[in-house]
Amino acid sequence: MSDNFKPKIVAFYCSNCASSAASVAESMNKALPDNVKIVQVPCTGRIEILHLLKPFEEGADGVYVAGCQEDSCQYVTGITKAAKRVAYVKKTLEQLDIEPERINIYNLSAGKGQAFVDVALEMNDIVRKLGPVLSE
Amino acid sequence: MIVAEQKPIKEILEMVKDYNKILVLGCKGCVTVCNVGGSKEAAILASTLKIAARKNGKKIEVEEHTLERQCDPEYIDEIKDMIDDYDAVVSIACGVGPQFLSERYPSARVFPGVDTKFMGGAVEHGIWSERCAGCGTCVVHHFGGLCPIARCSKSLLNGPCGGSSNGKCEISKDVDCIWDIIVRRMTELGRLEELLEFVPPKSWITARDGGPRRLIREELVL
Amino acid sequence: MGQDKPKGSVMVVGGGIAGIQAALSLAGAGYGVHLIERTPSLGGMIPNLHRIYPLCACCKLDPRISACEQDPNINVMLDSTVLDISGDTGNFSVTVKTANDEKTVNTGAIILAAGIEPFDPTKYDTYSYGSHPNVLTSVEYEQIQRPLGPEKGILRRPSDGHTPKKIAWLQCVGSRDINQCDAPYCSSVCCMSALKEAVNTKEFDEDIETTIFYMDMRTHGKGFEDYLNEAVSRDVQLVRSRVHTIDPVPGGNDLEIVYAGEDEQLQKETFDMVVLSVGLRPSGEAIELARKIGVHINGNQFVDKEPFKPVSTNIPGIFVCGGLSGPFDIGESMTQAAASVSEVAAILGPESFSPPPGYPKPAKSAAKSPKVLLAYHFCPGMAPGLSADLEKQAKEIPGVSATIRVDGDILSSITDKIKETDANRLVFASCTPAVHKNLIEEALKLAGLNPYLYETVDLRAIDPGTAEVQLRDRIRMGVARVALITPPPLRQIPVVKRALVVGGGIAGLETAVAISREGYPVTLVEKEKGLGGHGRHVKSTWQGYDVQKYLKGLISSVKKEKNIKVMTEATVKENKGFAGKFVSIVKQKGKEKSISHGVSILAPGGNPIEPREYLYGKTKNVYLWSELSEKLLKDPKSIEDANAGVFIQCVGSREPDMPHCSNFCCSFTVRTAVDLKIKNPDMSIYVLYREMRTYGERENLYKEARDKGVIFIRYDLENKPVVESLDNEGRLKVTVYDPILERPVGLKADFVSLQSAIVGNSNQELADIFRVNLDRNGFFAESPEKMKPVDASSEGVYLAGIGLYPKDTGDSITQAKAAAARALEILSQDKVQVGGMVAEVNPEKCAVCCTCVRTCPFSVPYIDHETGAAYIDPGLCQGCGICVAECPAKAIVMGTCSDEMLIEAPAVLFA
Repeated sequence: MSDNFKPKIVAFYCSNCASSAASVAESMNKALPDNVKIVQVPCTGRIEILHLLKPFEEGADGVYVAGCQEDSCQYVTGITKAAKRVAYVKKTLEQLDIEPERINIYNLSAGKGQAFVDVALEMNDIVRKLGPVLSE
Repeated sequence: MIVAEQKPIKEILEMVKDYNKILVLGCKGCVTVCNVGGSKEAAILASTLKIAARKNGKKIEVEEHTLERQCDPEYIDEIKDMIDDYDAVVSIACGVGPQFLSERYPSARVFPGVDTKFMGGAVEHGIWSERCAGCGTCVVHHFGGLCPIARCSKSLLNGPCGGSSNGKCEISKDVDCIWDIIVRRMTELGRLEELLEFVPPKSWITARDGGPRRLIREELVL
Repeated sequence: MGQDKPKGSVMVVGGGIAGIQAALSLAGAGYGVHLIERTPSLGGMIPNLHRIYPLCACCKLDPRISACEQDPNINVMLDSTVLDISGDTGNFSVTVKTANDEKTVNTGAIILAAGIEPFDPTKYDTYSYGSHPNVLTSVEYEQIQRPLGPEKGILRRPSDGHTPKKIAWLQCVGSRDINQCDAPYCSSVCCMSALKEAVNTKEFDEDIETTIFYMDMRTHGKGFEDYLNEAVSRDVQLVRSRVHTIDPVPGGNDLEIVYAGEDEQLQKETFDMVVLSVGLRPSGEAIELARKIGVHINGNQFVDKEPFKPVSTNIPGIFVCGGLSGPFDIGESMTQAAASVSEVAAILGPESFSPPPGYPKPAKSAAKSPKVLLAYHFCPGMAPGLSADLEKQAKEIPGVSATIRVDGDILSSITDKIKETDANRLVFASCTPAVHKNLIEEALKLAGLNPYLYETVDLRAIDPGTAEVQLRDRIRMGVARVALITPPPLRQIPVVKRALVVGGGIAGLETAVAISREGYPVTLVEKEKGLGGHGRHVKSTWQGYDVQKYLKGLISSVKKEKNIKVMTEATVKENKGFAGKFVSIVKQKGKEKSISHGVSILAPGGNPIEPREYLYGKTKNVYLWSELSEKLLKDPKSIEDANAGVFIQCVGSREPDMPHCSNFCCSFTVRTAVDLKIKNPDMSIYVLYREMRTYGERENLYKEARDKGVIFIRYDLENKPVVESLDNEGRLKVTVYDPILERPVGLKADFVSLQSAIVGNSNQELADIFRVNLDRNGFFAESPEKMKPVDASSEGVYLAGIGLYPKDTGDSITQAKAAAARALEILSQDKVQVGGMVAEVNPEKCAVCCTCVRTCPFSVPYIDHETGAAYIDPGLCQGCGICVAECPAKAIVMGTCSDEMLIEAPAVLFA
């Protein structure tokens, strides 16, 4: 694990709570690191298992989903569905001898908007410690 | 419908470990409806195999294709021009699929990607339950519309047995005793006396026990 | 219609949430609006708060503020105050002082929404507020909690910057107090605010101890009791005690509180911080203005409202809503704001500032290859250096045919540039995408393009040090995605200009009248033979207004109104369609009738449950409160002549299997008790309660009851009162454990009134028919979009009255009018657009497996047996994409967020 390993991370975030959190983070002058690439979806419920696997296929070292709190989803059940799919992908990764910590789901809100950036930094940290997926 | 479950990924990886060009073949029939072998799952399995290969530094090619069904020869025929491009085929249709493929393409290495479990239906979204064991002689009407062959662990016809307890089967707290349900239903219907008629031992000739089965419909044969 | 209403614009005084809501609703109904705000920005109180109760929605404020700023029919005047108002309906002359000068604005109607000021507790010298750094008001505390506040969301004690370990809240500071201040009323929001602040404190750090010192825990609104239970389960301590003094602990910055527990033992506790839950006052300047122009002010110094007209002042054409008219919370204020809009629409026709623009027909450009215009806008606060970086990256991205920076009149800039460059796709890069949605879609429509041919690029949270990489990634993503959008088919469906109202109680009747006065026909469906619902056995409102007289008048005006078709002994059997075009089947006396309508308003009411305790049904003289109320109407003497009566509160309410609070039972009891005492001062009246929830200005009534000698005894759930028969003449004995005497007390009573829980009336059936959701207490759920208090979970369906949540007459009337205002926004349109960001089923691929039918949170898809496939009505689809993800056969697609886009995304990002 070299010190200058910059993980490739793909982040899916929803257009509601996660986006509101982003506004607060922006107002606090917090910034995402450039190795975290964002993909916006209307609701995290739109994200399928295949969409979560594709980043790994293309060489990602980590993936995370950022959506609403369980009781705040504008589309009611989207975030709950997303959580179940992330859990499924964790199991798949385990079967492939890939650390399940490389994929996570976070519940954001504007009330703790700085989390929009904090979770990116957390994933960065986790994945950096795990090293790249590709074995040396 | 036929309900199947995906094989553990490790098992599938073990099956195809020596092959470099793999075709994942889905089916739009039953396995699509139970979310295990449709085009979605074909794509997911393909992606999973590619991730595994990438991780292990292997180079493989994986393609996916989904047939309308894998239990009619016309659909199996559809891939005749492409099947030779691949070293291995993983069929995620029910058990019929890999067999039809192997018969039609004897030189192809065909692997089953799912374990076919039972004939059943959705009791809740995401939960399928066994209903029919394919015994060949349906008599559910004698039991209030319920099948003790498929749903009684011992396939008793004059149950319940002494292991029935609080409506549950002795094999597990999670398995309902179907005889408990049958008796209650017949009581509600006012037909409990019908159960007093002794049902003689079943002739299993029409079931799988009588040998592999074949159904010929003369009036349909061309 | 027939009336000759004057036409005009409307002035909304106050740019807080109520004012903003009123302005948007009015503009949506075709009115030009002058929105006057005293401070330099819109938003009012909410930007000062940290999260909203019971379900946070403060992020929904910004899109509304943007909508006000972008709407050509809303003239936002900041740094402006109203100096004087003269004239009358249709022709008001308002003198407005702006930053630079004074001007006279002519307008047709006025809505006062100037809001509140929090109470300043400095005069409470025993609380050390102002002299001790660790004593804060609730507003100041929330400022500390806010991520955008001075402490960036890190909770620090003001004196030393350490994390507090123990925090106390003191309730009713500046409320329910005629000793230190002139505010006998209850401010109604502080119990929930304190719970919210405590729960959010726990969110920050689970180990911080939070204790709330209170007199009565007033969690009487929709979902509030559940919130209270959740707070308690998270270890928020509640101590029933009104604290007199906060003692600074010498030698440090801690604070000591000495209080008497319920067992009268003195307790001492030391806290790191104390939060004073300060009461609400109406905006002083606005009250001055009101007085000046002759608007009546009530005894509590709020703007007075007319009986049964909860948003009308004494001056026709001038309406009031929100904190200016009483201690109301955000939901109530928004509902009142909407109700004011309905009242305006009844007396004034719309006159807009700018007519709706004509849109060129979208060209069929689907066959042409994508030609992308990249337009970017930097909101204030974004790193200025980004512009150069962005332009540089844009040049190198294939597919971008032109790049333009837009500022000021963004709408016209984009529209013109699209036409100039013949672009057929737009990528808009800026801050929060949701805020610019309307503007972008409008620009595309004006340029003759399908309004969904765009992608937004989020420029937020970019690190200036790595801006080039991040911009490159994000723009390339946007350009790649926009190229994959297939223009969704759009249709303009004519709106059916009729409303269907379900329920002929007070809420149903009021909403029918309001909509008909707005100029649209109504069909009112009532399942009983007569109209009036529960109103028929209510004697008076909490203010003492005569309900029967009002109800007779209301029913009479409904029957006289030609535009309202009343169907009694009728129920709705089926409903299909979408907002703007519904068809319902109504069954009346065996015959079925099909009714086309554009909106539905559900006001089915509710009923008190029949308790299985307290001898109800087993002996006479034990009444359900609706029965007592009826008796007071039909045979008052039998109750008024009694020697003694006992009222038992919370019967079957606030218990594990019926957790909700029924809102107005405490008020009903004190009103009835006061009336009985007036008629018969010698009657002994006892009220057995768990919490006295005479919230808001109803508190005055509670005081009056005590002054008149009504005795209040508190009981606990573990120790319920017992009702027994005393003799054969129907006299009763009620035994209750008195917590102050610490012994059981026997009360002889001639009657017992049981204030039992109120539940919905056939809500599940209606929810299934109209495809709307219920909440966990069986009442209709509010829209999950939040901040839409009378909207159901599906568009075009609105809610009012008890069916939404138990409430009294005045609140039902307010909601009924608010629902009418929301309905007006649809009914006033000629066409409604259907299609766009919606999901579509490909019938050939559909396996008819019912997955989408089961998983859609809004119950939109259904199996169409004629096509043999699932069908998603584009008018109903909310565009979340959940069904697209769930469909096992991939038969459902969403052109604006397709699988291709999401599958290709990583490859684009890592290229």
